Amino acid sequence: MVLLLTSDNEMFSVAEDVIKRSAYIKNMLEDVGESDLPIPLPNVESNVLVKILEYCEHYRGEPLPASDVDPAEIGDRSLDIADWDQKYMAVDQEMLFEIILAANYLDIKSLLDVGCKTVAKMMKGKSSEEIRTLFNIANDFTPEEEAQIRKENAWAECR
Amino acid sequence: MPARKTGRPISQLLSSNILPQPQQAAYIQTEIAKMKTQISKLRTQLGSLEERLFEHERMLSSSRKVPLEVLGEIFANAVPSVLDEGARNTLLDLCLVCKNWREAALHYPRLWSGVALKSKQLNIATFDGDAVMLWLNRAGGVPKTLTIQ
Repeated sequence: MVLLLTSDNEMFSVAEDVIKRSAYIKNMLEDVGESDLPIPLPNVESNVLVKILEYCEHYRGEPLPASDVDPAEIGDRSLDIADWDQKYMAVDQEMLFEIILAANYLDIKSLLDVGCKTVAKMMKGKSSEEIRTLFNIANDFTPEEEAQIRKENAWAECR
Repeated sequence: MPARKTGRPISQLLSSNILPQPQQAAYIQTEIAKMKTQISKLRTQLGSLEERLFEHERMLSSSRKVPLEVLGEIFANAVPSVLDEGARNTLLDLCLVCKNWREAALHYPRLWSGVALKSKQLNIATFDGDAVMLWLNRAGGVPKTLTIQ
C-alpha cells in the first residue's frame, strides 16, 4: 500500500497497482523504493484525490499508455470520449479543472487527455465571448488590442 | 397618519376582508409606492453585490490555474492539425478569449503548423503571403503543412 498526504492533510492508503497510473507516483516509488512515509501531494485536495482514485481504480489492470509519446506530435485528435469517462467527467466546472490540474501534476496522461477533450467539447462552436461566459473569464484585451489581432489574422478569417 | 385618524388602523385591514375607507386606501397607496421604491433600490444593490461576488469567484476559479501547456493541449483537441477557414476562426476565437489564452496558443507551435487554403485565396492581387508566413512561423521548428483545396 502507498500512503498519500493531500494538501488538506488527509491521509489515503492506496494499492500500489492503482496509483501507479500516475507516472509521478510510479517514478517516485521506483526512485525511493519502499517506505512507510506518506507521499505529500501539496497540489491536490482530498476531494479531488478521491475523484482521481476513482478513475485509477476503474482502470486498474488496464495497460498504461506509452509515456514517450509527445502530445504535440499527435495528429488530428478525436473528441470521442468513452461512456464511462463521460459520466466520470460530468462534474461541476471547478471540479473539472481541478481534475485536469491534478492529472497534470500527477502525470496521468489518459486522464489529462479526457479532461482536455471534455473542455474542448464544451468550447466547440462557441465564440470568444461565449467561451468567456462559459468559463467565467474576464476579457483583458483593450478594444485596440483585439482589433490589432483581428487585423493581423484577417486573411485567416471567414465570418 | 391619516389611516389612524379614522380610528381603524390598517393592521386590522391586513387580517380581515374589510374594504378600506378612502383615506385608508390613499395611505395604503402611498405605502405601496414607498415599498416599491425600496424594493427597486434593494434590487439594484443586489445586482451590484452579485456582480462583485461573480468577480471575486472568478479570481479564485480553477480555470485560472491551468498551465499554458495544458491550455495548449486543450486547444489542440479543439482544432485539426491542418486548419481550414473554419478551424482558423476557431483558433482565433480561442486567442481572443483573454491574453493568457492567446499566450498559451502562441506557445503551442503545433497549432500553427498546418494551413489549408482555397485556390481562390491565391489571387495574386489579394493574397497576403507575408501574413500566411507569419502564421506558419508561429509553428517554429515543427514541420509545416500547406495545402491548397
